[in-house]
Amino acid sequence: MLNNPLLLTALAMTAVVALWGVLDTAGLAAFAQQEVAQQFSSRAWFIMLVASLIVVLVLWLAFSPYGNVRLGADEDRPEFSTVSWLTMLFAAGMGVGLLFYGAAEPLTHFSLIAQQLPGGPAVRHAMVVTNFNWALHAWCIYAVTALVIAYYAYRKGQPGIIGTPIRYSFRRGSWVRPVAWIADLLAIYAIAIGLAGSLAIGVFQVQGGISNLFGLEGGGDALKLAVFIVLCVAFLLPLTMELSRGMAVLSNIAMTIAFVLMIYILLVGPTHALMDGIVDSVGGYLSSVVRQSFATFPFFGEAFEQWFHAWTLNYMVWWIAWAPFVGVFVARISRGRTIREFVLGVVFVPSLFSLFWFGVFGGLGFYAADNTDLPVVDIAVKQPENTTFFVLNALPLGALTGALTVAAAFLFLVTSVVSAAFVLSMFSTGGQENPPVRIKLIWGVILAALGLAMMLTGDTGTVRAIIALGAIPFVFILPLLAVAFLKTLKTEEGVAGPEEAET
Amino acid sequence: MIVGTLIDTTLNVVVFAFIGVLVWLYLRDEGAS
Repeated sequence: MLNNPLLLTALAMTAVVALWGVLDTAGLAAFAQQEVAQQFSSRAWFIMLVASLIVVLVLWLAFSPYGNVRLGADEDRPEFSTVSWLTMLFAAGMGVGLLFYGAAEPLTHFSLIAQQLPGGPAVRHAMVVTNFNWALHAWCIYAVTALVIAYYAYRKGQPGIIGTPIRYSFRRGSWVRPVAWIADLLAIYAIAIGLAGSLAIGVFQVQGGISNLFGLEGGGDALKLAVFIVLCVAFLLPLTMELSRGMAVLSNIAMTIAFVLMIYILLVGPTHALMDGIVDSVGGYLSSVVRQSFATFPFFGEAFEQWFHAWTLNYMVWWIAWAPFVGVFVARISRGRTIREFVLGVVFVPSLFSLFWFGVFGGLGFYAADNTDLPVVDIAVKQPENTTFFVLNALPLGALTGALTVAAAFLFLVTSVVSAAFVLSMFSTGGQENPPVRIKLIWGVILAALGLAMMLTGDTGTVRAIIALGAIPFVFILPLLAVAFLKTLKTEEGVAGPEEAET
Repeated sequence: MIVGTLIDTTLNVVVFAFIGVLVWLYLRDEGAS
């Protein structure tokens, strides 16, 4: 461990942030908000361009002759059947974020857009923005990272880490090794901060749910701390033993609960209104996705600029922070597939699921706002952690569905942190597939400390700013990986041109 | 005001240079390893 500078530097960097956050929460929060505001206002165009060009690249790869290139040797075939693979992709797409933002996000967008547009069009626009934030862009960012990891690991036999494409593709120059090393470091840093942020947001939600279920007023901070401690015990214990099967079972339980909740809302809630909303918002999304992909809202005024930075831009950076983490999992289950199959599955299946999910949860939120006396929009803006529970109360068995949501959020958190500790250990030990328990445990503790620091800020907006701060450097790594990958494809994958292919 | 503009310009110049480096990396000949 002491002879691994990457691991030591990564641990030191993340530990410093964690310590700073625990000892001087307000200082870290103020620094993150100020720094992210500067980066976002100066580089919004670049971040949107990177995210959107990645979408173009991924779709082009699928339909170009490179689509036939296999992520493995030419004779390799997929390890999992297509149905199991698609189910696992669903699982990768699910997480605590969907439970937290399902209803809160469209309602929050609505609260601002409704100041400019009348009711119906404002709802449609709010749904379109939410769909934009969660569908194609997120999954293309994940896909390109997973594709790069899988290609070099399974087709070229290289270590499955982020610096590999740089080392492999750019062979000349003394800068290659240090830059690849920095890429590895920034990936680790982005994953750790991104995951810890999700941990904090998840704790907010579990606390919100428990408060709602038991009608607790006040004492939120003590409850948050209690939830956090239980959570830490729940994820640190499995890190000390070989429980990968157990984790898969827990993850499947969480996924099933979330899926059942969605179907329950669809069937017990206003089914036709939800389906109308889904079809309408998907249509709105498809017809505006190109415009939205390059929208940076110049000259729209400060309120819109801040809203764009806090949501869409923040999400793009968040997906980039999560990309190496999700990428490792998606790469592992996709060995032996062609690039075309890979893209069609990884991009479109989870994207469709997200569109459906937000259609159901967001639709129920708007339905409750329109047809009940519940102050749903107000709650979404002021207490996003309570929104899902509040909206579920508009349907029968609100206490049961609320309890199930808490359980699913808790399980998602435990399984995410256990997997993240594994991926962080793998990345920081040069791609070891079975990293030592000791290193996994150290990463578990670091994630807990970072999560605690973010939780202490007490506010999702600040947590998101800290996540952005961790991920912004990685915005530069992703295009570098894409260029390295394209270069390897160009020089090493002799694909038949269109004329040759026809004959 | 001037400091703000200077920071903004610097942050963007770094991005312009980065884009230039990406194009150069893609186009250059790596030769034998």
